[in-house]
Amino acid sequence: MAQFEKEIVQAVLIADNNAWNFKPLSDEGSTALLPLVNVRMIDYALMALNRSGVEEVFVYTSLYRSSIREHIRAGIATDAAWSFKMTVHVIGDEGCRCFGDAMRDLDNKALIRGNFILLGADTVTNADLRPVLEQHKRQAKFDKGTAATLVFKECANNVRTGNELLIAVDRRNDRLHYHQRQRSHHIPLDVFQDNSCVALYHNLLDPQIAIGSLSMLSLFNDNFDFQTRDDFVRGLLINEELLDSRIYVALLPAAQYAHKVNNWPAYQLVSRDIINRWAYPFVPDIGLYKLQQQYVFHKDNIYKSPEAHVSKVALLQNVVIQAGSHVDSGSVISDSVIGANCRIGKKCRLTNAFLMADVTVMDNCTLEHCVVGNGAIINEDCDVSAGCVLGAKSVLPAKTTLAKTLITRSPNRRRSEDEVAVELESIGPYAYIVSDLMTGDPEDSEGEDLLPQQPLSIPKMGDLLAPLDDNSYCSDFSEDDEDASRAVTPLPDDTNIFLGEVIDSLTRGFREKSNPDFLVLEINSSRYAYNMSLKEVNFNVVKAVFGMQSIVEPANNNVLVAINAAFKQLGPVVSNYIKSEDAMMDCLKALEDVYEENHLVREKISQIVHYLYDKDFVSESAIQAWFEQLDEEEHAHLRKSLAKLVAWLDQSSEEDDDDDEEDDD
Amino acid sequence: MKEQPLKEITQLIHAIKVGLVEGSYNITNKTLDIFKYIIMSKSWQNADALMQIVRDQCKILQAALPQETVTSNIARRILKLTREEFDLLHAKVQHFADDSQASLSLHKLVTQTSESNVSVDYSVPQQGLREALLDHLQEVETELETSSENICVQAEEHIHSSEIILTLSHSRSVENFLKRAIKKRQFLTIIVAECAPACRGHNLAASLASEKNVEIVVIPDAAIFAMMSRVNKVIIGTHSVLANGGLRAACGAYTVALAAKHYSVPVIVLAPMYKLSPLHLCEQDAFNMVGCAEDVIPYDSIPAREAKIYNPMFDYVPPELVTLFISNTGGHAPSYVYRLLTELYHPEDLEI
Repeated sequence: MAQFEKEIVQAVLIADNNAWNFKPLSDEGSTALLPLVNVRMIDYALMALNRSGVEEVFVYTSLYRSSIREHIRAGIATDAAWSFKMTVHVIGDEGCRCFGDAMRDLDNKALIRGNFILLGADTVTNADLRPVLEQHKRQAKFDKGTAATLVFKECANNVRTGNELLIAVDRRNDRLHYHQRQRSHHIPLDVFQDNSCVALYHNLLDPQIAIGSLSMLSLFNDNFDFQTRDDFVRGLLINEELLDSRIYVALLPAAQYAHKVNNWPAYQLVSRDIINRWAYPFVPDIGLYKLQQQYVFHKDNIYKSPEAHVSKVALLQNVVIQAGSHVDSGSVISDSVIGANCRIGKKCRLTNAFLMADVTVMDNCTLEHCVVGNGAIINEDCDVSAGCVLGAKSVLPAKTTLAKTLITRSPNRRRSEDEVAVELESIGPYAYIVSDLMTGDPEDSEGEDLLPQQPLSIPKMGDLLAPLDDNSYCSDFSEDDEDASRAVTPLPDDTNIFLGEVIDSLTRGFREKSNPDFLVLEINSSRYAYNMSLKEVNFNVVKAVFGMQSIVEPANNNVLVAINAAFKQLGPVVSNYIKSEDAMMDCLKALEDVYEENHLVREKISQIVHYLYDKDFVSESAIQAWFEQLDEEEHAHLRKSLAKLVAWLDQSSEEDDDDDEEDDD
Repeated sequence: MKEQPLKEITQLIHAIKVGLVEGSYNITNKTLDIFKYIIMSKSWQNADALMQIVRDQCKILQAALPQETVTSNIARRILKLTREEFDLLHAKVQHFADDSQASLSLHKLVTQTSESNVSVDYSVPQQGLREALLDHLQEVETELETSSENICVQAEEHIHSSEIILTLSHSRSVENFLKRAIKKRQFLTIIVAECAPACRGHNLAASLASEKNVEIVVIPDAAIFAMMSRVNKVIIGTHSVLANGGLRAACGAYTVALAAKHYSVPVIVLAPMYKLSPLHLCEQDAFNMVGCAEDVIPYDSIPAREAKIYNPMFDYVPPELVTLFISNTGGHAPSYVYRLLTELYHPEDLEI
């Protein structure tokens, strides 16, 4: 019987992404309902699914469920293009805080019956996902552990949107081996050691499209720490054998457009691409949401509704004007989108301005690289530029000059619980400046791409062509990132965790005077858990000894006594690791690190080294070799403090030699 | 005031937009099916109501798909049919006492002119209208079905042995026409302009190459002029024929027609009757359809950032460049198109 039941193609659409990046408009409604070239973003995603032959869609949303449900209902009533042969369910849960929660909830509800397409509501693509789905099914037949197929798109090197990533793929079966958001280029060696045929892609764009197997949902349920899709990918790659699941990769053909709209620069980029007809058939004059065609296409990519009143206005290029809008004479508009029923006064200049519905712009205004929310009013002689965003219904007083500012209508907005209500700076009765610095909890926003490296402010719109000259927002922001990472240089996570655990073990062992053998066992198990090399273990154990509370803050500031006490108890543990010359070298290097961090150690460094030498933890040749390779300039102070000791060691070894010779005689 | 679209209409619009239904013939067929369904449904009581429904649905189709003129053409045919049938039945009742043939006599028709100014009240319910309409729809359907065949039959008259024929892109009428010619005539050479960027000419060439006894040459669009001096006839299809006899044809047709004019090569256009539309070329901007920019230049290329890229679908070919139309009813000169239009559609239905 089973083969008679036709398999329905299902899809999951995750709405409410990137709330943080779209402030302040995201505070007023779902980001999925933001208009992109006068069509709501979710409609693009739904249409893409419809074109890929999807029959059932689950829109998963948490914050603005009712408004999205209302939108879907209205779409069906007005015969939106996606409403044919496709049923759309809006589901969601107020408690759902992240992507992982959504997946777990879907699993619990058991709505998904097989392989499904997973898409963000902010994805704009004209790709046909059927071949990718087929590829996934074939793969799943071949490999039962297929959890997901991630879909990527190759992109040019010259335009960056921050959605690029670096992956390593097995060329023979498209299996994903390594996945990293593009910030640094560290690829673990075992990717190459374990696989004979690896392709590295560094110019991939992640449009947030994936094909999931049923097992993907249950994997989310089994692993409660998976918050985002990236967590899922990372977790699966690390614990490949343990979870017995694998991820595969599919690349979209060059001719198919796919992009994610997750911040304002991407919004600007995708708007322009849609207007320039790259996302065909998702172009303004196709009538995506309504049945009727709404625009007439004129040359220079100007889309004008027949019901818009635009007379004696210079429409330069890439302009979309919705029905009911009225532009007075003398205005100049280029690269802009004007929503329904907008009124624009005389002699205005609009460049890269995105006006939503019912916006009023009075005479002599200049709008550049800005977004204006529904029903906002901009009074005479205003100058708004460089990535400003005006919230819905805000009113800008006359003669205001704004740049890089976010404006909202009312001061008492809903804020996250843990935050004290901040008094917003006012520039008018209905205009308050929203701080876009990272004050709230960024994880709040279900952020898939909110990595720790996220710049402090929201990426703003700017000149898109500039990335070619390397001086725009994109390159700026990548430089910032580099600076940041250089300054902080945090250790890789695992090493830090390992060090923490060793310190804990040692402290406990020291306090409770437990058997050193048990401590060695404990450290070894941590070592395997974090996959540390022997060198790292040696280094970290010594560092951990010096990192113990009793040494960092010794009684009476007498660090030597504290060290003596520590080594009396933990000596066997240390000597278990520090056996060979190499290990001694690691030990001394660790000491070098400690020297930098602990000023007490810094003062007594030569005594400490001497003590270690006395107790036979390190040999004199190791100390000499270490001293030799210390950089003369960087470690000038350290060399100075050690000079005496090394000289003495040299001397004593000569004496020893002499003694030996004498003995021989 | 706004009429709700029928479910079938919205489905058709969607199917055409997504590309599930392609080609004028298929679109015409589907549209005809929908109108047939409307006529069969019980939702109308008199001719006036029916005509209103047809008009409303046609308007919706037009608004959604302004470029697909065949849908409105078929609606006009239905409207004309309704008028005729109503008049006929009405006349039958009026002149029941008379010989029913008399009302249709030539004499009657000629002398009727002053009478016909009296506007007919279509809202009067008329017995047997539905049946009569369905009967006539059958005729229209048959005409549609046989239109391609009827055009093909004329292949022999126009194509002779060892001629060189040039065509472009891929039109189904042209494909069948040429296939028929290949069967009947020997030593033909067919030159196909590929019609970049979609390059549908390749498909036509592949389809024709399966026939025997014919030489197929595929050329890039740039070589059209160079090849034209050797060509005996140009045979092309068209998307629609405008009221003045001009064409809305695949992009590249204008190049072909101009080159043909320069070398005085006859241009023959295959256009079944349903492609004749009573429209004039007025608004140049809305006339064309612009496709995907990706086909012209890759998205990632650097010039693509700054360039404005157009990928137009159609060319307008003025009537003076067309030598002959071949429709399912025979050959017509472009100057005769207006006459065909008056025969085909009722003057009051030109504006729907």
